[in-house]
Amino acid sequence: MNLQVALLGAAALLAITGAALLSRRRTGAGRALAAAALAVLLALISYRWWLTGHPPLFGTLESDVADGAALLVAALWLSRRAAPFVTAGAAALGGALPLRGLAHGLNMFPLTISERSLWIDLHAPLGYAAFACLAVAALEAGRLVVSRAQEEETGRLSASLLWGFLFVTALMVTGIWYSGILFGAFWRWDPVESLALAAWLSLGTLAHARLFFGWSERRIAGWVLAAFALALVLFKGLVYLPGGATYHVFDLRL
Amino acid sequence: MKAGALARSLWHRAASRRLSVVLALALALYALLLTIWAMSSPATTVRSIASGVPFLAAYALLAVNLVACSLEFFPAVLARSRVRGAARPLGREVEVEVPELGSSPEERLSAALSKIGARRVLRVDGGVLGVRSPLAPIGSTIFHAGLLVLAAGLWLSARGRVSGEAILARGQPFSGSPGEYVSTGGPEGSPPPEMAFEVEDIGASFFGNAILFTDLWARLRMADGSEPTVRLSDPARSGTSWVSITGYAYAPEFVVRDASGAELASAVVRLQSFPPGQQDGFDLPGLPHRVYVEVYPDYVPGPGGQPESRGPAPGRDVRLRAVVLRQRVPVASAVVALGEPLAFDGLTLTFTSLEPMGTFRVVRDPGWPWVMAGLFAALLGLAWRLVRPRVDVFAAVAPGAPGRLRVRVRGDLLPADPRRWAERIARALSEGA
Repeated sequence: MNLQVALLGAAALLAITGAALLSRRRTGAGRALAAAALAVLLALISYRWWLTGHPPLFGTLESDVADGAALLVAALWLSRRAAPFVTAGAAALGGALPLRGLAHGLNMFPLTISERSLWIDLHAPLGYAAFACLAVAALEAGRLVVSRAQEEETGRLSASLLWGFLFVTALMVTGIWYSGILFGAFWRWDPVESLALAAWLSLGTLAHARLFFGWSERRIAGWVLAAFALALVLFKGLVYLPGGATYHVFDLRL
Repeated sequence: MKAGALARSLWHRAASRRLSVVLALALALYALLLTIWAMSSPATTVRSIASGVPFLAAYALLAVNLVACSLEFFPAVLARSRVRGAARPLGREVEVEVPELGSSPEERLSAALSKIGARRVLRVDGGVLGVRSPLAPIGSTIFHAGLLVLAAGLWLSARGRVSGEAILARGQPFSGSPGEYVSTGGPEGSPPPEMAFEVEDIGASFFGNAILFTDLWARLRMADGSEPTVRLSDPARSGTSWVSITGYAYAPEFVVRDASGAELASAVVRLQSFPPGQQDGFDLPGLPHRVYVEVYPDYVPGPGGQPESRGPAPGRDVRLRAVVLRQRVPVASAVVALGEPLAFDGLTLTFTSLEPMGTFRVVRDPGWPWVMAGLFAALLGLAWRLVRPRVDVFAAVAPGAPGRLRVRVRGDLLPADPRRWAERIARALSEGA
């Protein structure tokens, strides 16, 4: 079996088993398995980095593996703070997401001239952080939507939403600046830009609803799920758009 | 309605946060529609839709709303940052056991609150109020001001950006005159960007034999004597203009001689000759001939004797397929190596070398300093607001119980846990604060 496939399978198995334990409040064992899954994904990232000579910021598989690692970090950090549903969800998603990347190939290519920039080195990790924060916000929102129990506001939804908003803003800042360098125009209404703007405005609106109109976390929860759906298209859906619709797809077929 | 009342009413409407939300959602919907348009329409159509009247009206309204909100709410934000009391009603009260605080409990409480991160501490209502990050709310104003500067920069950029492309081989100078550009873009009547430089060298690296650039660079000598190396992702700037290399090709150098060996014409020709096998043509100066050329930088014979190239990087055996036409009639055709003459109409055409050639994009954008400042301010303001938000903590000794502390807190952005803060104060007190 291919080493990379084996590593991806092992990470998924460890993460999903860890998620099952976390959901049953067996925090210690769940954390250990999630940490092991994270270690496997980091080993895979290091292996590909060693072979290609660049950090994981090229294609669908690399972004899915890095997003999976970011989600596992979030699961570990949240495991003593958040509800089991959120922690387990983050761990399960972190293990399963890289498997989606497999469908887009294990091929390894060096960075092309448009990707060789410190701005990209900054842009991609900001995207991973934004995705992890927004996924955690969506999990917390999903928990609030499903749960009928009255509970005091924890601020976890607001915190993950606001951190997600900050990271999406930073993602757009670096993207706009690099677009100016790469294309000679800061904004070109490419689908990645339009979708990012729509997601950013939705998140900003939710931040306003929370901060200025006093909407409770339970009240914004449904809207957070809708905003996450937009973000999901932005982060994971571009690759399914018709060929040539956006430049922001980096899977090479040589 | 009197003019003053009307103006106030308009102002309040313009400075409405509800209007901000409605406009933001409308723009989000517009952006989604543009995404759908982009699936079926060319980019130029999408851009012209995005600059249509409904969009411009929404941008303008949002800009007015941003300005009005910033002016309307900034005084209140500023006043809150000068802490004179707890900003808003504090949360529920919790009690915690602490060491007895002696005859001046306020002093010890002030020290404890400072120790746990309160930047402003004052005595109020029989207790002590400590405020962590009192200036954090100003971050919102900086963020929104940054968005306005960014919007101004993007507007300036869209109105005034001029770009041009020039194709230059190694060793060729460029003065920025309109005739040197192969294409330009920007507002009608705008002169192309002025930038002078000489191409000292051009280099490219490829991934194996694939048409995949792993590096493409050009070393330029600028008018001020500097010698920057530019790449697609790393342009050289001069004022509000910048130049980068965006493409690569091969520029053959040729010489035409007559039967006596006298040179009739020679030049380095700029061709659209990349990737290998791409055909382009040029006219022989002073002669009625046109030459079509395909470049094979690392020649290998293909099936049926057709020329092929192992890869895009020039190798040991550079060959060119040349077809010479006179008045559209082919008079010679052959695959020749460098230095190998091709005879036609009593003359010879010889390709003497293959120079690397680059496509250079020169951009003049009056908006870029504003865009840079706006992006920086927006990000800084948001980080300032969110990373360490304001927390108001009120602590007082319970009446008649000198060893018990009552604590109430209020988080500006996120709910603050009074129990956690009470424990932190108790810990600071027991550590001697």
